[in-house]
Amino acid sequence: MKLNERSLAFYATCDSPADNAGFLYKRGERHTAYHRRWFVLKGNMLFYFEERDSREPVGVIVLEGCNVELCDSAEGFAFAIRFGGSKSRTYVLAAESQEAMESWVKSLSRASFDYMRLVVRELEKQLQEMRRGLA
Amino acid sequence: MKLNERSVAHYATCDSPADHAGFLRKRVERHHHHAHHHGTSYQRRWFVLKGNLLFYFEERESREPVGLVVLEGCTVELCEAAEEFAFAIRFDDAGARAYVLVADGQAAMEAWVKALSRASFDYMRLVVRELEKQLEEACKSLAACRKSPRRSSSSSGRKRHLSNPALLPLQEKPTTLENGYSTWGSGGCVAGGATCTDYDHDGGQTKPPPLPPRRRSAASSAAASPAPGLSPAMLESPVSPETICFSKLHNWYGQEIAVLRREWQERQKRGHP
Repeated sequence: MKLNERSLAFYATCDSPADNAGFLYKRGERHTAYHRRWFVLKGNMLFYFEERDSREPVGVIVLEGCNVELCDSAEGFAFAIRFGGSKSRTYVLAAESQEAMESWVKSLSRASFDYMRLVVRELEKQLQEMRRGLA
Repeated sequence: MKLNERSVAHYATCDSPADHAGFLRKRVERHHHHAHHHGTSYQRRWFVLKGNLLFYFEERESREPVGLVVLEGCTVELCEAAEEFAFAIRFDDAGARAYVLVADGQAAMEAWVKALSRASFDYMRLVVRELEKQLEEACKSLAACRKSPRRSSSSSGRKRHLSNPALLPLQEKPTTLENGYSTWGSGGCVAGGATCTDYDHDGGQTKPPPLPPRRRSAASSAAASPAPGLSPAMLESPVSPETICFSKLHNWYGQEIAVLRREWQERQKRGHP
């Protein structure tokens, strides 16, 4: 699939604020070894870098349509990002502390357009009710 | 750059609703050093917009997208081209390629430009901020009006308040939003935090409910209020509350359209950059 890689890499490293950032261990797809990577979450894009000061992300996980779950792992503080579709890869990540894990699971659970739409709908509903309350 | 391609392809074709879809002609970008660079050519593709993801397919029935344009850090502009109804997606990264697209007609072009202008997280955050501001003003109006005891007690007892942690801007620290983190599918599981309901069944992790609007001015409740920008003292509204609420809503939507129209007109005037 073609991708606008260059502008995406620019977006990953530009100074727009990140929703979360930190080191996580990422389990490889075929081999179970974990690799420590620097992760940056912006909106529904989860970028990962080899090092914290790397100039370009190694990869990006587009989070739209995903589920985030805690998971058992010898690694501890592990959670998984799962997607629909039988061929989709599940990303198993591990944080370095309970607090970090909880923080990541929370941010990732909200990292979607669908979630934003929910928030907007809810606010609009509240506004309507306010208006009715005043009428 | 690695990409979770299979899940993205699945998302592109799954039955989640698209924000916009249709045929567009996409200009073929050639490298500068191509020996024979005569004229421009276009390829007709089926485009599907879901959120900030713009997919394009070879055919309408194709099972997998040919490509994806992630729409963050970009602007959409009308553009000069030998083609009518052309517009361009340009990125903050000036060196990145732009996408020049051509619609079938004026209406189609305007619809695409409008849809694409809103297709970013930044835009959604703006919308949320605006709505919160509207709510805050409505709150003030509510506090300002002299209502029957029945009315005001029901509104204060309802516990739906704009400083509900569930609705803070998403850039707030995670700890102030939502209670617990048990499995949450994006888009599903609404009952948890997103519906700003009673604090009664939270997991004990949310803050105590803030004071009801009509009593806020009595105390500086800064400590209890997790929402930024919410002044503890509610101001009296000089204008009738009903008018303020409704007309502000109208204003806001009207402003959005006015801004868009102005931008289109300005770009047309600017002509060729």
